[in-house]
Amino acid sequence: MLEVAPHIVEKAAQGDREAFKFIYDTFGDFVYRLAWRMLRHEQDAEEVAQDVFLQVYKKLKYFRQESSLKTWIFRIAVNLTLNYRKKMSRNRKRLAAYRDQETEQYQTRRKNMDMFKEDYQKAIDRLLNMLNPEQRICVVLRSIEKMSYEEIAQTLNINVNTVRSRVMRAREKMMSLKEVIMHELR
Amino acid sequence: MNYDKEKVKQIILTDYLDGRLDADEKRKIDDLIAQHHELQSFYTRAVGCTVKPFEHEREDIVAPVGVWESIEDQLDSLEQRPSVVDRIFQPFVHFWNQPRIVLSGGIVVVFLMFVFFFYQQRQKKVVRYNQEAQIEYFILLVETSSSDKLEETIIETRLEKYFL
Repeated sequence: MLEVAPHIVEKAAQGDREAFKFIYDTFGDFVYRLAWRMLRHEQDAEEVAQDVFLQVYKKLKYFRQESSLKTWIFRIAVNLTLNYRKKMSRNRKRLAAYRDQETEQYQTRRKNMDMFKEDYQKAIDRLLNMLNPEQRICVVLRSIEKMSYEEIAQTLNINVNTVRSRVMRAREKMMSLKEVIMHELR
Repeated sequence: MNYDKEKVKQIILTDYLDGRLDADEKRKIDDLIAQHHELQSFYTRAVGCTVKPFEHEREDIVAPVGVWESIEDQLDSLEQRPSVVDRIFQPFVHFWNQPRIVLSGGIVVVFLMFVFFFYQQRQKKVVRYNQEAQIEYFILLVETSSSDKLEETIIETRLEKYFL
């Protein structure tokens, strides 16, 4: 259970570096993993994780202890990750190029067999890349981080039914795309 | 047994796979899966494509040590740099700390500016008054243009006196 005692949060809000390090130790891996899962790039994920904790440090004095620190940090992490992804795809076009290439390869079932030599796990990563950011974040939070629909809804600030529908669409997509891969692998 | 195939598939993909159904609902879906071959294969594919691949994902990834180190560096530089609010109010605080003579000088300047502003306002009022008078005069001209009193009225202006 990722939680931090209120007195530690208070200390961190007053600038206590040790208390803040404790918060980082508690949530750092999650934030980094989330960024990595969404961006698929180590340096980008590190950059986002740094930005998230700098924002947390700056805004901690405005954080009301009424809500969960975990949800608050996760929300910052999700927002910054999605923004970074947007910025990256707009500025560098790297992600867009990558996704276009993937779509072309999977959807038109071209016989470029190099990618299918990769292991199963990498194929699944590619499947995740095919999902739109909203679907992907729901799948990452639900299937990998094992968060409940309610927690995801709080983190993304959306309705539980919206979470359910995004998870469903994402899984439908993954099932159909995986069939394409399996068909090509045979 | 009649059932809405699509709806059951949706439930399998979400609440069933994620363990969100109560015991009764779960038993119903279990029965349907056991009875219908199509649902059975759908469930197997759903688990294979959307659950199993992620089972061992979490442990692999942890934040590198360098992340905290660079956060610390940035926090250090952040604490050395004054905040935006501080930067905005710094000059005012600096001014407030100046000797009293500077402060009094500032107050006198503000007072003079205040007086000048009022003087300007008064000047504007005079101009406005004159304009109104002029408009009234023109109205009078229009009203009396056809009457015999026109000459008497016009002669009163200095300009006309000069030319006539």
